[in-house]
Formats: sequence, structure tokens, C-alpha cells
Amino acid sequence: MSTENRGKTYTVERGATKLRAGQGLGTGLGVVIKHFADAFTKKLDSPEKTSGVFTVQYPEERLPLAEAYRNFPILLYDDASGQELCTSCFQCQRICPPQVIHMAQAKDPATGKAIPAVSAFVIEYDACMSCGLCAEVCPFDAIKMDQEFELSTDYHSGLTVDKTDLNRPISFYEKLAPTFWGEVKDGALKKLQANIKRRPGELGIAPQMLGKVPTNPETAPLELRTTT
Amino acid sequence: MTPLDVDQLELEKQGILLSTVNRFYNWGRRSSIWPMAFGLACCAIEMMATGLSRYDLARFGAEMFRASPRQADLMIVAGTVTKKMAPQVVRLYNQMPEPRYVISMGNCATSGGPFRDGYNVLRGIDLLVPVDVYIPGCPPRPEALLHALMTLQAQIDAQKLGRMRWYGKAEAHDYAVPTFGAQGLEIDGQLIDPVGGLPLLSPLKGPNQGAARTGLIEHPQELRRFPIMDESVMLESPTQAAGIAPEIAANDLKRRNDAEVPRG
Amino acid sequence: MLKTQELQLNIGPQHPSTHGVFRLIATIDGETVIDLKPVFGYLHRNHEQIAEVSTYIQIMPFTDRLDYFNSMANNFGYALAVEKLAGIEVPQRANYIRVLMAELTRILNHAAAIGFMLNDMGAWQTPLAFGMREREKILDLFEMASGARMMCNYFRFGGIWRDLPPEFLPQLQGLMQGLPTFFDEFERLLKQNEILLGRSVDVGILPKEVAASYSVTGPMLRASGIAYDLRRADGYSVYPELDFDIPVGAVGDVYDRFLVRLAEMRESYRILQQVIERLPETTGGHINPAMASMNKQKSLRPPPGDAYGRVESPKGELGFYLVSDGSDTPYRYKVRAPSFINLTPLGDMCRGHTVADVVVILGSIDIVMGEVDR
Ligand code: SF4
Ligand code: SF4
Ligand code: SF4
Repeated sequence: MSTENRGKTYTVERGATKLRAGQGLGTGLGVVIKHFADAFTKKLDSPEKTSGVFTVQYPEERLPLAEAYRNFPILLYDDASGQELCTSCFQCQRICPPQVIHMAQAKDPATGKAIPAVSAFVIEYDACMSCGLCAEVCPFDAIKMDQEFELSTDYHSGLTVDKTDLNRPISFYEKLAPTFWGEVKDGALKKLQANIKRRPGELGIAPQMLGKVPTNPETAPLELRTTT
Repeated sequence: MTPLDVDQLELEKQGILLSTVNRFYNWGRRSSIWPMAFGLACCAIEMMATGLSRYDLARFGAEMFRASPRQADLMIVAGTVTKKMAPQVVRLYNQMPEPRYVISMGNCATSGGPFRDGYNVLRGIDLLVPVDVYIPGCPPRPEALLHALMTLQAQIDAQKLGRMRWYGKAEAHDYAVPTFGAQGLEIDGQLIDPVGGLPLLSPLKGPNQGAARTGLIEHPQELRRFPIMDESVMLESPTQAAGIAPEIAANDLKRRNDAEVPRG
Repeated sequence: MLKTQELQLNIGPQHPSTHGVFRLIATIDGETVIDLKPVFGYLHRNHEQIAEVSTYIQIMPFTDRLDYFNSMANNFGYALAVEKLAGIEVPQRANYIRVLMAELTRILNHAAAIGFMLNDMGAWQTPLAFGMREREKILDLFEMASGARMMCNYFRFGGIWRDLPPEFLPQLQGLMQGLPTFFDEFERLLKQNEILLGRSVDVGILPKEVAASYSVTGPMLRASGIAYDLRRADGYSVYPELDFDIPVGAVGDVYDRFLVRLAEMRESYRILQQVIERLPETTGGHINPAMASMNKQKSLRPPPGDAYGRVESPKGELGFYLVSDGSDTPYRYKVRAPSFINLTPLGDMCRGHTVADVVVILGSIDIVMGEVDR
């Protein structure tokens, strides 16, 4: 298609540049006064409206967050078995643009071999740029973006968050983003099953679930490992 | 004694009158925090959005963005503080009258954020001035700024008239304005933010963290450490753990080796 | 004639006009500016240096932070550059969604830019509140599609991150119903306003030839009377298939820049109408299947060579120049920032005007320091 025959060039209308005194003031104030009056009667709650009260009374009233909304990454663990989805594959650490993810892989104490579980995981919330690339790259869907934004604190070091504070159950994320989780659910749980088989003892269990779920998943019955 | 007991004891010592005055005084201050119009980068846009119709900072009595530090109570450091801008930020802070508060809005102000690897970005405004509230986020939603303001209000509520640092005999100090040294920003000839290497930890803490803010020069010399930065982990592989700088160094090394391939 | 002394006046870097940290050293004679020296670098965030040690996809979120009003337009330019370098095709649907986002960005940017310019004229926050109200609505849409209000990181090489969610189009149509009312109201509020006329007519004139010789682009250039718009001149993406006009100014003063921005918002509205109409029939997914997985994105190694991708960002020609050495990080990465280049004739425009006009002229350029200093 040729680019020339589409549209034209026109000169903007400058209008009168000298006005009677008060003319512009009158029309301008008219607009402002109309909005002022509407503020008492109308509420601007859908995108087609252009006047009315637009303010969200924040602490009491909250805007609904879009499902896609992302703030900071969190780690997921399985509700029933308490097993973390993360296998310490270092993909998220490599892709993170400001390099705020740090982790260490778990080792089998008996053999000293690396196993697909993570022993330490730290994210610096105070430097993360909320880009969501880590969640996108994770092959095990273990790292996802949270929507919590009320994180202001007076304690700077508290913004370096470790695994215990990063862990959330899958059900938490499922509530947050049902479609997103629905797309990957089956694959993620299947991969988790495969990984659990290679995690001896309590390795790979989320710290907050220790003691609440049977350790040693090598021998644990399979039904304990599936979410309901 | 728990902090609560201490508070109770304090209350009994002060008597009912002073505590009522306290409450009234704090109510007055918390309801009219005037921020300084001080936008540095992207976060400033969200700060403006907070001030405008949808989030309406005026509901908290904090809509009076003052252009002059002399009239402001609160400095919202919204955006990236570069090494070129850092001295000005400290000067502005010094010009603010007590009581003054600092909100570090966004990750750039808190720690250099996504740009902390850059040679020109200050890694945390708290290396230079004490920060009362940090808001993580890039950029934080306007609601997050409102939340930070409420956090600050809660802090103000906890302050006691008898213990205000700006009354009594304590001398007022100006915070030291950094200068440019050979390797980064310096205070008094000591390096506070080197170019490259690991970020430093701030010695300046907000009053809630138990620090009296003297304004005396304190040098951050402690490196920030992560639990997984212990020797054994670091030895394993260069891509695992360790701070930022080694990563980039490793990457550079790789690039240099790869670059033997002729460039197009 | 009274003998007066020249005075050096330092404006900034912290100053009440809302354009970020920027310092001007003005030499004034009485109230008249005779020379102006801008000093920047207060927001130099090492964008290009960081980009040269990052992989191609890692740069994408950093481009959001260049011109933080228009993250979508920045993504667009960068994605075009990489696609050119690596020879990646973009499906039709992805292209239409890209254009949709870019035009929403333009409306958002111009509404805010006019508001900020009026701020500089002393109308503290009122017109800005009108503009920012529409901006909030558009940001809601961005959040719905991309997950973030400002830093969208929505574009991927060969397409976009995700297709539009089902509730996006109804909400966009709602917004489209409200936009004409907003344009009319905004125009009524401002266009025939004595103060705006007094402060902007014949202030900061930038003649055609001067504008061209400074290689000014965007609304600034069009206000000076040169109908140069990359969407037409370069015809990237699906713009050749869309019908829109190019508004130009007659005089090239601050008032013309204001009018051109108003008119451009209406043109963007026209483009949006066409895009919405065609979107259901578009073919191809939201991303080229060959690049659909994140693995492909992150391990992209374009062949050695160089490429220049450019878009008409709301501020002007935004270009990304990339040199690849065949590795996964660019060998050289350069941003042609429209704000920076549009800022260069500031001294010429201000000469002979009063100090108060300097701020207005600066506001009419519509700069964002994140892009000027990078
Ligand atoms: S979170 Fe995902 S990408 Fe990161 S190490 Fe764990 S499994 Fe790998
Ligand atoms: S969201 Fe982006 S910056 Fe934050 S941890 Fe993930 S990859 Fe890193
Ligand atoms: S924290 Fe993010 S949004 Fe805020 S100034 Fe830094 S880069 Fe910009």
C-alpha cells in the first residue's frame, strides 16, 4: 500500500489571538464550574464518563487490581505436600536485569550431589524493577509476581527478603491470577511430581510447612503430594 | 522491660496533661505534612499522580507541594539520585527546618534500584540523609505512597514532646555534603559510594530503628551481605550468588573471550 | 539609555517547574535573556552502559525508564531495532496491538504535556488534573494488558507479551466514548484563554530552517511547519494501512506547539477507531510463533551487523542503534533521544524573551529528563 495517498497535512486553526477581556476566562471557568458542580452529584466510575468524583478513598476503598498486575516476585509451594516448586535452575537469576535474585542449590547430605531444590533464595525487593521477566522465564512456574504493594517500612534491610518470606502457597497465587495459573497448572504440578522424587528428607519443603507435612517424600504416598 | 512498659512508665511520669498535649501536638503535625516538590525521575510522575484527582493527597493534608525547602516538612525523594545530584539533595535536606522527614520513594532512591550497577547512581539516599520510610517498588503505585504517608503518620504519632530532638539543648547539625573523589562520592575524604563493587549499608537509621539522628558524619563501611554469600557458595561457581559486580565481571570476561570472533 | 549590568542567573537543578532535574545558566540583562546555557547530566543513569552488559531481552525493561511517560513507545522502538537486526517477522495482530498501545501512549503523553506546560504558566495543577484524569484511565488499560501502570515491559521481539485480556476492548470502547468530550472540554478550557494566549503567542518562535538544522523532530518540528512524521515518512508497522492526517503549525511558537498537540490527540483518536475496528479480523497471534517462548527471547543472538530502529514517539523521532557482534549482548547500543535533541535549540528560542518565558518555552518542548540524560 502506498503511503502517500493516505491522509493529508493540514495547518492547525489558530483562531483569534486577541480576545475581548474576560471571554476566555468565562468559557474556561464554565468548564471548571461544571466539573465542580458534577463533583457533588456524579461519580466517575466508568471510563466513558468524564466528570464527577474521581477520587478513590484509598485506605477504605481500593481500586480493583488487574489480574496481570505485578509488583514483586514470590515463590510458590504446594499446599498439600509443602514442597517448593523451585528447583534452583538459576534461570531467573540469570535473566534478572538488575541482578537482584540470589540463590544456592540444595545438596544431598548423604552424597553431596546437587538436587533440584533450593536451599537459600534471596530477592532484594529494594532493587527489583518489577519487570516480571523472572516469572516469565521460570520453567517450573515457581516464581510468580505478587500484587502486594503496601510494603513501606522504616527498615531498609527488611527489604532484602529471603525464602521464608517469599514463599506463598499455590492457592494464594491461584486466587490472585486464576487464568494465569490455569494456563500452567498441569505442567507445573507434573514437573513438581518428578522433582519431589529426587528430593530426600525434608529438603525442598517450604520452611513454614516443616513439621506440618510428612518429610521424606521419597517414601511418602503419592496422594499426599497432589493439591486438592 | 518491654517497650510497652517503658512507654507506660513514661506516660506515668509525664502525667495525663502532657500526654494529651502530646496527642494534640502530634495530631497537628501529622495532619499537615507539607512535602517538597522534588521530583527526580519516573517515580516523581507517580508522586504527581498521587497529588492529583484520583488519589488526592489532600485527604491526608499533604497536598501542599512546596517549591522551597524552607517551607517543607517532608522530602519525598522520588527517583534516581545520581552522584551529580546527591550533593544538591543533601543541601536541600539541610535547608529544611526541623521537624523534617524523608520518604525514600521507589527502589532507585532506596538502593539505586535497577541502575545501581551504573557508575553514576547513588546507591541509596540513606547513605547521606536519614530516611524515615522506604517504599519499595518501581515505581510504587500511588496507593503505596499513600500507605507510606500513613506509615509516617503512625511514626509521628509515637513521638513524645519531651524527647523531640529539635527542642532542648541539642545542637542542630547539618548533614555532610558529599564531594567527588577519585573513586566515587566521598565525605570527609572517606569513600561512601564507590563505583562498582558491592553496595554499602547505611549507618543512618530512622528514629524508629532506635537511632538518634545526630547529623554527625557517619561512614557506611559495612558491605551488604546475603546469607548465601558465604565462602562455600561463592566458591562453587561464578554465576551462583555473590554480589553484582562479580557477575558483571564474569560476563565481561566471557564477552572478551567471545569477542575473538570477528566483529561484523 | 541606562547602563545595565549583565547578570548570571542559575535556574535549577531543583526548581518548581515540573521537568525533572535540569539546570539552566541564564545570562540576563534586566528581565531579558541574552544567553542560556543548559547543564544536564543530573539524571544520567548509565542506560547505554548497562545495556551493553545486558542481554537483548534484559534491555527491554530498561527502555521503559527512558521516557517514563511513554514506556510503550520506547518498547516499540527498541523491539523494531532488534527485529531488524535479527530479521524477525511480526504478525499482523501483534502489529495492530502495538499501534493501539503506541497511540494510547500519545494521547496520554500529550494530555500530560499540555498540563505540565500550563503548570509552567502558573495554572498550578488545574489543567494538569484534566489531563492526568485521562491518563489514569489509560493507565488502567495498560495495567490490564501489561501488568504495570508505567513500566509496561509489554513488547517482545516478534510481538507482545500476551494478547489483550477479554475485558480490555470493552473498557477501551468506554474510554473512546469519553475521549471526544475530554478533547472538547480541554480545548474549551484552554484554547481561547487570555493568559495562555498572552504567554504563548509569538513566544519562543522556532523558524522552519532553524528547526530543521537542529534536527528537531516530533510536535516541535510540525509546529514549525514541517510535516515530517515518521509514521508517514517511514511507514513502519501497520501505519501505512491507517488513515490519519498530520497537523502542522503556521508560526512555530509555543501556542502552535500546544495546538499541534491538541490536534494530534484527535488524530490518535482516529487511528484508535480504525485499529479497534480491524482488530477482530487480524490474523496471526500476538507473537511470532518462532519467538513465542521466553527461551528464544533470552538466548537471542542476532548475527553480527548493525540496525537502526525508529518510531515516532510522542516526543519525536526515537531511534535505537544497535551493533551486534554475534553475542547475546549488544556491542554498542545508542539511543537517539528526541527530548535531548529537541532541547538543543532552547537557547535560540529563549534569546530576547523574559526569564518567565524560559520556563514556558521549556515546558512547550515537552522534555523528560530520563530520556535527555539517559
Ligand atoms: S524460581 Fe524458577 S527459574 Fe528461578 S531457580 Fe527456581 S525454578 Fe529456576
Ligand atoms: S521482577 Fe525483574 S527485576 Fe524483579 S526479580 Fe524478577 S527479573 Fe529481577
Ligand atoms: S524506582 Fe523505578 S520508577 Fe522509580 S525512579 Fe527508579 S527506575 Fe524510575
